[in-house]
Amino acid sequence: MTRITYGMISNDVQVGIQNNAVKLDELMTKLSTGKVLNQPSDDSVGVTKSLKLHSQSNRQDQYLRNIQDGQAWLSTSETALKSGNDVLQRANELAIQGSNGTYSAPERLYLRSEVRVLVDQMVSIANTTLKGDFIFAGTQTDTPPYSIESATDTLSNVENDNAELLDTIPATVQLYDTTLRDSSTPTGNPPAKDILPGTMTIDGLVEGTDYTVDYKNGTVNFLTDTAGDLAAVQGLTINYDWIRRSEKDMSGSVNREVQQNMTIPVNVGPDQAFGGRTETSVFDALIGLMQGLHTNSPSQTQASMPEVQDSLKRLLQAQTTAGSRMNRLDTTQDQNRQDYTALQEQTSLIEDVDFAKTISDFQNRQQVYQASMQVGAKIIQPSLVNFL
Amino acid sequence: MSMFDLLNIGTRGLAAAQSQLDLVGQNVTNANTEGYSRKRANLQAGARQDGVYGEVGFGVDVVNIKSMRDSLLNRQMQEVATTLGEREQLDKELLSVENVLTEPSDSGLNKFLDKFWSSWQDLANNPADVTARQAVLDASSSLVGRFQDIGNQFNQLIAAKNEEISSYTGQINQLLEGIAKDNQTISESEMGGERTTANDTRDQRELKLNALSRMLEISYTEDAQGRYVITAAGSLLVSTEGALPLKVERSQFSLADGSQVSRSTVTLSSTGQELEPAGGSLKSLFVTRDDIIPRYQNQIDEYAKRLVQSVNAQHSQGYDLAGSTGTNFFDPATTGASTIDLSATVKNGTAFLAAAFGGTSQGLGAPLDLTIPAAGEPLDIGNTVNTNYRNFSANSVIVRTVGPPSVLLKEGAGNDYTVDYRGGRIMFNNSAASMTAPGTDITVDFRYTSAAYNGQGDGNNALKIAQLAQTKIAAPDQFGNYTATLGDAYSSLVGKLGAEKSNSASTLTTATNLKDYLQKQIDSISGVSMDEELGNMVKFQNSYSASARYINTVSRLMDTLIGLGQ
Repeated sequence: MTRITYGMISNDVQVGIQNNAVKLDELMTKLSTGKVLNQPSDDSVGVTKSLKLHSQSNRQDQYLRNIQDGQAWLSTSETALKSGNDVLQRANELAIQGSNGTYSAPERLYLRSEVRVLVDQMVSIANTTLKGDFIFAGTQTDTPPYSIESATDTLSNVENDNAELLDTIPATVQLYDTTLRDSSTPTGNPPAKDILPGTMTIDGLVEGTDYTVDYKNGTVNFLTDTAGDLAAVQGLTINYDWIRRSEKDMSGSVNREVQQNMTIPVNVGPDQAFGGRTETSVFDALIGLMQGLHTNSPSQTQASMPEVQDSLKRLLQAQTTAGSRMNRLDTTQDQNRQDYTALQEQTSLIEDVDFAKTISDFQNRQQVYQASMQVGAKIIQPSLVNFL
Repeated sequence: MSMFDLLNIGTRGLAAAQSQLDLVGQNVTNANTEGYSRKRANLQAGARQDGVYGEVGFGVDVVNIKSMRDSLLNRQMQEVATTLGEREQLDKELLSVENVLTEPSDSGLNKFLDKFWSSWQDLANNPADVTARQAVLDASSSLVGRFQDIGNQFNQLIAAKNEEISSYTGQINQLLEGIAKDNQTISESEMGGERTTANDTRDQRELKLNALSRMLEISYTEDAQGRYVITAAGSLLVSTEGALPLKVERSQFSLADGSQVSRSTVTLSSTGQELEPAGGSLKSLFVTRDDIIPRYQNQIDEYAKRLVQSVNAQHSQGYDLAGSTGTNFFDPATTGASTIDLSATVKNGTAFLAAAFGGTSQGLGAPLDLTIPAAGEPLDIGNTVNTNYRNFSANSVIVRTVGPPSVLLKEGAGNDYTVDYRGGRIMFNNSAASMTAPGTDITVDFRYTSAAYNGQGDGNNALKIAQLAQTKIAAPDQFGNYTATLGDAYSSLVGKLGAEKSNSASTLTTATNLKDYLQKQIDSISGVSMDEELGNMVKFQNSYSASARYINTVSRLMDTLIGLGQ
């Protein structure tokens, strides 16, 4: 028979009470933090999963922010494009009116000034901003994509395509963008296109008599001198307003990552909405219309109508693109919220305390703890000492 | 048999009962003394030779006083102590590693990484926004701070382990000295044979042996004079002559991240060799210092380095607000978690974050004053003038002689020159008649396309950096291919740590249970039972009273005898 000593009993009681206290403490920690996982060693597989799930939830939140930001871009673009649509509808009506043979020259000039207002509107639409960023400028959001510039240029060193000096009349002179560099080196500067009809003056010369202008392409054609007031092309000063397109590369797309591995462009490029550098842009079409009205030419006015309509189509196309991207963002957003909820549930399953179960465990454990102390107290007390 | 013999028998009975009562007192008062084993007096019936009857009884003899102890159990206990010491220490160390990483919590590295990647996403959404830029810097500084904190804490842990190794060695030496001294006492005391067993010193020595075993795996033998000879890893620690203490030597040591620590090594004074503990808490300290901490620290260092490399590689491809490119985001000199930092450029301000990925720009070549090179040599503008002067725009090249007269040269095969538009090179036909002879001064003008800043609205590089969160840039396999994202690699490291810790906790529980079980067995033999002692006390008291009464009776007998003679 094993000898049982006082020390053994008291040790057993202590170990038992200590064990129960440790278990109680674990349950206490779970209940007070509401988390099952408090240390990696609590559940090493769970903790790895939980860390990953947290990162994923974090990313879903980020994607949602990206989506909402993209929605702001696209809805602003859509609104702007819609007003561009209205502008072109009006331009089309004016073109129809202007091509009516019964209109007189002053009436056409009146129509021209109305188109001029439309041009201004169109430029301001193209320069729409969101939080200070130009949204139709690709990634060049700090530069307005289009601007109306007033230019003063003195014709000197006028060269033809072979870079040979021109000083003969008749002559055709290309106007260059002088905002970048002086006109003496034409190869360095892009041509100044889309000159606003009615804004050009050349040293007291008379348009139609002394010269004609191709406003769309920015060329001045000096006519054979009949009145004797035009001796040479060189040295003449030209003033005009024109629509300058930013020389920067605006083809960059503004992207938002809306899901893992899914990046959606949220901007509409200027080429897509208004026409590229080498295409007939919406401004080319409006200038063409203005030129028809300016020069009192019903046929030229009529010729600009298909251009205006093409621009309208282009604008509608851009609007559709923006709309379909918007739809994609909306569906992605729904998906995102569903995923997020699912992630939250999974995280909660791994991390969170099942309160009902834990509290009942706690109460069981507490009873065992109290019982162990009561029994311990009873066992430890008596000894032969008390009875001698 | 004389009357006085009767008296002697009684006296010896008294003495025996007294010494037994003495032991009861000793046992009862030492019931709670650690390492004490209860004592018993072994009695033997005394005898002497009588001329008439041969051997006759002569009262009782106290043969010796014996400790109740099972040396086999003690040996087992000492072995368990080694296991327990080792595991307890290991568990404590793993807990401190867990505490360095503080996962899962809001102050864990994972949270900081998440915030870091998120801040780049926000920057991608608002690439020119100062607030978004500042947010990236803030998130990066926190991340860098957390990395440094972890790295430094690991370094401090290693330094602490070195301190502990030397302090543990000091404690071991004290125990060795103590055991050697006890050996001396025991062997001197026990010269007198079994009767003079040094019971209490033996108890004390057993206690010291257990404490020693907790710290270091040892083996021991007992020689004929009761001395313990102790060896560790085959080398003597305590000989019959005395203790051979351990020595701590310190040397400078560089950690993985380049920081210097003073490293402790323990050498045996018996052989002069380095001690490699085979068990005990000292072994756990060595394992912690040389394996566990470096293992986790190296991983964290690796993550820090991979983060720096990957983010820098992407960041340097992008353009900052001023349109400059090629800058690092993190300090490329990072050697590990404790040395990670933002690059000097980025620290200068938010404008230096390269959020834009860039595109191309049309450039205007300033009219260049050049000279037609030697016959057959091309005029290599793209390589000799400016590396940006390549990808000339079609028909944009104009070459003139300086003159006077200034002559416009003609382009085309068979004319004055041809142009390699992509490479930015002009080949001349070198005819003196057309003024293209080598050495002629010319001006060259052109337009060109070059890689360039794409404007403030370009957040594509920030997006690319943010996407590194989802790119496998960590945990290389044996072929050097990265197999996990940084976040995932880190999460599984934390999981591994958790598994190691919970494994160690359960082996610790096993060892503790085994120890408790053995302790119980030892207590069952050596422990003092109050009931038993008090029962014995009553018994010995009675026996004392009986002996006294016997002496009283003998005394009366003597009185009677003496009365006869009067």
